[in-house]
Amino acid sequence: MPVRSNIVTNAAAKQKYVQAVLALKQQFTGVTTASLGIPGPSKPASTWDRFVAWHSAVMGIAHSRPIFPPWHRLMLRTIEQLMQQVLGDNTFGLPYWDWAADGQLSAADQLTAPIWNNDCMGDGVSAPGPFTLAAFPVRLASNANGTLVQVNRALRRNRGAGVQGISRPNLPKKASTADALNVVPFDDAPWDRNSTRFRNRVEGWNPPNDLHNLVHIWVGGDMLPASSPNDPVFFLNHCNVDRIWEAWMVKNGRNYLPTATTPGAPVGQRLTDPLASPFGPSVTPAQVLDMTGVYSYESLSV
Amino acid sequence: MTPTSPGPITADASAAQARKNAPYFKKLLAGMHMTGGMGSVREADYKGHHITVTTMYRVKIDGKPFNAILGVSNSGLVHYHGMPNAGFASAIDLLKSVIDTFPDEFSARSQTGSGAMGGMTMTKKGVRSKAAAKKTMRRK
Repeated sequence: MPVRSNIVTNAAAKQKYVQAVLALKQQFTGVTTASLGIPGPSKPASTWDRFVAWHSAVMGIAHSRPIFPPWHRLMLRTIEQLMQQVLGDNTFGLPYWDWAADGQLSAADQLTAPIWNNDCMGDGVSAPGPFTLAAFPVRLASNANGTLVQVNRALRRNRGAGVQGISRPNLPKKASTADALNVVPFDDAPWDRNSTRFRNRVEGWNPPNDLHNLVHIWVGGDMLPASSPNDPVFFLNHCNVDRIWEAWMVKNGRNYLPTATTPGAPVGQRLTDPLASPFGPSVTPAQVLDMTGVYSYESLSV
Repeated sequence: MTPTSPGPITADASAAQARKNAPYFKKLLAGMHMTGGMGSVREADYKGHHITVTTMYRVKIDGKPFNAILGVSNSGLVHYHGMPNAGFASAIDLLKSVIDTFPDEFSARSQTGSGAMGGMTMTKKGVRSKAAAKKTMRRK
């Protein structure tokens, strides 16, 4: 059974993750931009690029909503299996980035933390580390209007710069992740970015620009738009979010809200509503609450 | 490429699998292209009274309408789906970040006045006249 480990302390997981990222970027199975509904001339879409399109398509329903954790669990487990297939290793576990550990460092040291070594995610602002333009071209990206369009350029980051009004942010700290485990229940009305419960806490809207959201902002560049799965850091961030959710369920029980009978619950966000995947049959949040027989984390200390 | 692992989630990268629900995802992706419209509605109940606040933004950058939908959370933070993970203290900050984040769509201009508006034209308190904005549009 796969064990998901810290990418900066497990050299084998780091090497395999980078290898699998590059392999999925170059894996073409006959899917095209036309079949995905992306404007412009029809071109082959790699398996990696399809995750960019999938994430962009569900931006409005899988973010700032209750299914944020279970939908991303579906996405992570899907790419984990596809990585196992290209690696020929069914024990491969998706690694995570314990960004709150780096958040304990000084602002300068956050920028030079081991995850940014050039045998890992790389330290460049363009085509960092292993993700050169030739090996890892960005082919699909959201434009300013949120439309997914075809491009051909290198991956971009702007680590630590932030955005207007949130300049020079630091990564989240351990106190924030630990505090999130104490927030109950899982979610509550109005079931959006105004909720004060765990889902909205870990997503990073309450307080604003914290935890998961802050990591996107801190990395910057291609991590800012809806096409953020372009950056391999995306999956390391979300694997850590999934780890925090797992730690929350170990502490507070494997429960989810809204249930199928919660009054006023939004359709598509309930415990037994289907989450669709372009890579396999739909699953429900109820089906993914307990994955202890499928994968585990080497540590749930967040 | 065959599904190999246990559990409720299976993964098959084939085109045949992708075709099974391609129309559903194409429809969702098309929804991301939608612009303008309803605005942002905030609601609250207080001492037996129901409060509704509807906010709509009309934004231009260099005189050209910027039609992506901006929303406001109950805390007053402004957000939009083009940068779905960030909440901004003001729409001006958000739009400056749009210019920073999508450099391919906003080529570099003079830095004059960048501390205030960064070359942006707003309909309410524009730093450039409407005539100037129209002139820019005609040039394009």
